[in-house]
Amino acid sequence: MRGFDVGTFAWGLGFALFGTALALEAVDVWTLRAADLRYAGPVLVIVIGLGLVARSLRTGRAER
Amino acid sequence: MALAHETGPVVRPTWSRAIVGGGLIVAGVLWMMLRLEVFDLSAGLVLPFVLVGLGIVTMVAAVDGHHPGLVALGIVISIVALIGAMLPLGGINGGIGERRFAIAAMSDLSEPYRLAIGEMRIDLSDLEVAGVATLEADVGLGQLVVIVPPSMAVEVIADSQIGEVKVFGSATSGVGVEREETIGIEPTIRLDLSTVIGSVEVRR
Repeated sequence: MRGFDVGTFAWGLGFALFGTALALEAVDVWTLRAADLRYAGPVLVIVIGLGLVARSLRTGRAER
Repeated sequence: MALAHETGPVVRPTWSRAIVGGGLIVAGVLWMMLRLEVFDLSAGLVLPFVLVGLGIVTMVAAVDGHHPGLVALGIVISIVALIGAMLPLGGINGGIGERRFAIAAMSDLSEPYRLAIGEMRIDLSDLEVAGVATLEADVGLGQLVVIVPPSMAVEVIADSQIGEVKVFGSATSGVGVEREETIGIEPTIRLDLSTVIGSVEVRR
């Protein structure tokens, strides 16, 4: 076993939450509008940042 | 030299089979629920459900280390699902083509008007307003035109992620264009208009 990978788990959790949000949008619990794309940039930056931090932590653990 | 512990071959899960198996289980359960008429699965729900299933599989797979393939697949499905949600091909007023609406009653403004690709023209010239009305309209890719009565005071909130917003002849174009303005005193109608790629125009 290669051990638990936090980064992969976080991606999975993100996919599940995002899929749930889109499913709720599809049944009109909330409405996604074109204007909401303005949040895509900041969210993408945060996701990339989290990915880099997770990768850094994994590399650090491997070196130790 | 004798080993302290005799170990057998390391058995590792085969994630490809697990994913296919898990997918078949989820698909079978959904199919059964459809057959039993527990709920009605619309086209817009398919990709979100696939994404949720993939997310769960990815979380389980994380126990066994890094799985870049699953993450890459999830990113692709996320993007496709997001685009699918932005372009409501199965929506009441979604779809592709040219749409023209002449709205005369306030009750016709209760639902947002949405079009995936094409041109949507909404004529409010004959609208009888009692109080304050709100029109919400979206076009994914294309042109959105709203015609308001000549003397009506309006509040306009319009945006185009890539394209142009034109309000009574005054145009602004580029990326992330947003306009918010009030024309007249005590507006009786609020226009909430949006497009991803294309133009929004308000005129009399």
